[in-house]
Amino acid sequence: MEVDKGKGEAEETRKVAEADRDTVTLKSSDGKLFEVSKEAAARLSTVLAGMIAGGSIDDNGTDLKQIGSEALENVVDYCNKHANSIPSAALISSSISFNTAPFKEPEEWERKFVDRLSHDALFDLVEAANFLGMERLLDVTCHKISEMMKGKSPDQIREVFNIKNDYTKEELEEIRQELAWAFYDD
Amino acid sequence: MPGTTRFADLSDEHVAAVLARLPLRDAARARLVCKRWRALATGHVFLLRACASATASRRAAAGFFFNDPFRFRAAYFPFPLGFSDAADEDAPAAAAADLSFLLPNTSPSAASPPGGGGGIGNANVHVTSSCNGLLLVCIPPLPRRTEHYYVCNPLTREVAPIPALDLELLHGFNLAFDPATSPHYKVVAFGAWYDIHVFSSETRSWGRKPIRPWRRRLLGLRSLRAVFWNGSMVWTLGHALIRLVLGSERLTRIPMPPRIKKKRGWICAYIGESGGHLQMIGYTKEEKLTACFEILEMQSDLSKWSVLYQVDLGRVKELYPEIEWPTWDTRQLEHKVIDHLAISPVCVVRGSEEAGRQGLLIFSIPGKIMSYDMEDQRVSLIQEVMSSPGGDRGPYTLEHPWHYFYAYSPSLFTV
Repeated sequence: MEVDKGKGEAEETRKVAEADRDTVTLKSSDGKLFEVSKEAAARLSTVLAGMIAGGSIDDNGTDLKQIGSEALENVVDYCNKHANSIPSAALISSSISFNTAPFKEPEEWERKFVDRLSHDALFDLVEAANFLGMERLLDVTCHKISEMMKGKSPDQIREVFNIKNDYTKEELEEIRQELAWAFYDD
Repeated sequence: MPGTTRFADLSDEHVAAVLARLPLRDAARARLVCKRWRALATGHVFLLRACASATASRRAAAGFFFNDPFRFRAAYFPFPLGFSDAADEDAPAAAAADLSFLLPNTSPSAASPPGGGGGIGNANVHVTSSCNGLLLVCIPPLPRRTEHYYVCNPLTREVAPIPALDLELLHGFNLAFDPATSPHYKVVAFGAWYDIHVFSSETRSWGRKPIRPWRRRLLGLRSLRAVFWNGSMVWTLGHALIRLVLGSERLTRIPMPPRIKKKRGWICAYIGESGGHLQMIGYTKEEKLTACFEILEMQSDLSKWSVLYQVDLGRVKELYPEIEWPTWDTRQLEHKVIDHLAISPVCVVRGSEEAGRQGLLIFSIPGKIMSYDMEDQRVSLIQEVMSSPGGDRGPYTLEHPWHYFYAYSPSLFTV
């Protein structure tokens, strides 16, 4: 509502109103538009936070050429869901440093959120989260991928994730010997 | 859909992030998938990450080793189910604790004597220190001459011997390993005159000059066992703690809470490190008889002690009245004068959260190792153990003090 009012007024007022708007519009590589809570976007994505602070948010849809519509839809969905869930201190602190901060388990809704994604959508989401600097979403998606790997043999992992075995038979045997301890109950 | 995803497109950082989330054994096995994964899932930084995420969601330890004084052996006990997720895929609790790989000529079954009172028995192995997934163990050769010390990782079964000094017999070996600051560890031990010798795994040698503490600094040393915390070795003196900051040669006192300083008869009954913090339990003899005490925790800047948990073991007195020992002259009388309470706090495990919620206290009474849940005050039996040399439960049984116990949490760090 504020936006409509702002658009009709002089440039000065328009800028103020834009700063007051509580959503931002994002445009995917294939031209689709998505609205996302400004507060959540700024909190969850370092890239969007920088764009919002720097004023480079386009009212008619900020171009995100690297992100397809399906992935962007998931990003926006995640942000909006996050805005609606109670932001716990744990979540915010875990998003500070991807490398060293201990990972906090995904919350129930985050689990459900990634569970419904296909493999492809999940991998797209990892790339989108990486591009947008969304550490928490990266955490949650990487966690999901690792869950898909748990307890699987190297052969099964290669099959599920379509990875080529570039070891020779001898190399494989050698590493297996080194890792004998990790196979004692197989 | 299987076969259609593009793992190859993910950056190294994200593949590593995914692999670091796996349970420790799965993370190591991922090295078999392809060369790229092997490169990513090796190296200290990766191991650090893998261990950080493995411990983030649960308590700071998975179980503990107990040096059984009556059979020279270290038994391992995982924390009871429900206390730790360690029982899931991540904690090969039993296998991790099998130290028989240290004794090349024994099969795993031979290492556990029959009727061993539960737990994994590790005959002829004595744990003397446990730090971030590495153990410092002592094995006496037969015929017994000098003891041999090793640092090992029970999960990966990697072993490195600690060389003996040429001229001096060392004792009181303790391990210092902080993977967040260095992949290398140090071993600290006392010489005959309580000079302090430091071994570094980086140079694989003992320091050339021992640290010679001003003799009275170590006066009143209660246990050879030290606790590695915050870059320093901490020993208990009767009424005080003293620490050696590794890398410097300084021995300094850790300030005690002001109200304890004035108490006569107060002793430090336990110190330990859990979740990166130093915990301490202490009481006077009278205070101990009440079975109620506080677990204090030191701020990492050494500014002050704060109360982490309030413990009330009154219930244990009700369940096991025999732990209240009367004075000798009143033991036959109807009104006994209780002189001693045979309870020893042996291990504090901090909860995973900032405030340390869901913490656990392991304590021992003669013949039993038990746990106390900070959250619901529930008291549970973990294990029955022998309390006298013959195994009889006579009235004069032995207690198991805190320095028989070593909290352990699996890691992938290399020795």
